[in-house]
Amino acid sequence: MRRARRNVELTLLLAVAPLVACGGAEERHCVAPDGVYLGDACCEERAPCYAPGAHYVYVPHRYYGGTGSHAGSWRSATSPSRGAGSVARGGFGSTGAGHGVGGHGGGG
Amino acid sequence: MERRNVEPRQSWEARVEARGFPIHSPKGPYWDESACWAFTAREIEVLERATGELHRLTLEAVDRAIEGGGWWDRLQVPPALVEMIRSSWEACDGQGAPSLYGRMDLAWNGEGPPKLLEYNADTPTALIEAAVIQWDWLEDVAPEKDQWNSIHDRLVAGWKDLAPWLRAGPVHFASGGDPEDVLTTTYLQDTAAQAGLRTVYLGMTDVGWDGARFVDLDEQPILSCFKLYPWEWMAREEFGAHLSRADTTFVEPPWKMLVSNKAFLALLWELNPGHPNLLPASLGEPGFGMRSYARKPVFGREGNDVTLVRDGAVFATGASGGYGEEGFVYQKLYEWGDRLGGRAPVLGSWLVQGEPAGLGVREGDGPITDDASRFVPHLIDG
Repeated sequence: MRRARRNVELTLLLAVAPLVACGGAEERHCVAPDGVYLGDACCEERAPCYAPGAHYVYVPHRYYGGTGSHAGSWRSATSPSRGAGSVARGGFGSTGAGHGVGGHGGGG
Repeated sequence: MERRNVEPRQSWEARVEARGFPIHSPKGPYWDESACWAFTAREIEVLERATGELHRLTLEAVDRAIEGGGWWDRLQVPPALVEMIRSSWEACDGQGAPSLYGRMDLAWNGEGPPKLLEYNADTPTALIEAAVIQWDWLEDVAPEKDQWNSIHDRLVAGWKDLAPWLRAGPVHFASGGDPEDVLTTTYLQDTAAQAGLRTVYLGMTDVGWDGARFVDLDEQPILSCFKLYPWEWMAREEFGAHLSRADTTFVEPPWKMLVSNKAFLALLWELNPGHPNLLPASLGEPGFGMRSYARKPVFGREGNDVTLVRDGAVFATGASGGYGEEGFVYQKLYEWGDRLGGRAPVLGSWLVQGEPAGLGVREGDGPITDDASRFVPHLIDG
């Protein structure tokens, strides 16, 4: 009754998983609007393989793991400017540092 | 329903990692394919029906809580968020702002009705292993068998259904830094991308406030946001003061804050006393003459600060997580008995868009399911 399923492709997860495992440095990947990985050149408008809507995703750039862990961000590369000064950050994320949101525990 | 020993696949660690799940053994074995749980099709139907019925009860109870009756206070909803919750429940012509997913933890030994232990409605995890990894295991180990698992396909379909309701622009995905949270959020980002949505990830600490809107690292507005971060945490943090005036559509919606609260178990019982899929539950002290019960922090997670009592005597305590400040809910103890060889598996029954979608089984060495409890795959046989 549920046999119809086919293999699933998990482009973003496969890009991020090794960095979560190893605490690596930032990497970026060019993906189509539907998340499918393209060659990095394909995010450049002059490239033959450029696809409208293609954009970079960045995998965590300051992933530490362990207590007090903080995953950084991977983000679209549409604007290089950040932190103009009028934006406050850090107002979320202070609870449960180093712990997952889990929801695993059912008790008996 | 029975537990079977099975031979792990050769190099299973590499196979699981290759699918994007490197956290198979974070504190010792977590993904455990040395065994599996086998269910009959009839047993799966029992679980499916119970899940659907419990979700129906849940929606009715949210309706009642929002009507009043003192439940805003008993659920300890921050006053500043009451209107946001109410609005989200009344959205979409009274159908409620759409939900993507949730996981009910059910206790069952294969006999009698399954019982709800709790409904992880806001930030459920253990998703990748349930949706993807155990399906791969089935394909490798028993491809002729079936599995209750349409989670992935339903998630992709769910995002497509949600798309018209989401705001223009990319859908932002935000989580804390725990590896499981990052991976779970990334997986859901993947399912959204497969549904054709444009997505951007950022850490919760990177969410910005520009004085009028939540913004991402490019200072672009966050108009639609999946957050794997509990509502009650968001509400009490610095930016919680902005939630009610921010023009952001969140997934899961604010009304899920009521459901993920363990005090909600007492509301469910109060509204449906004697329901076969519920365990008696009360707030503040053991009610209904209970002498055997689980004491759970109202806002507890991962089995932390849970205490199990049988015949008035404590026999198990969860790890300390600093929970309990907001009080406790007391839920009658479910007894698995000896039918499963002394094991007490918790059946994580997944819902996508309110529909039963699949199963993930967890089992621990003790009676409290916590973040170290192992995930054991399942199949349908018979």
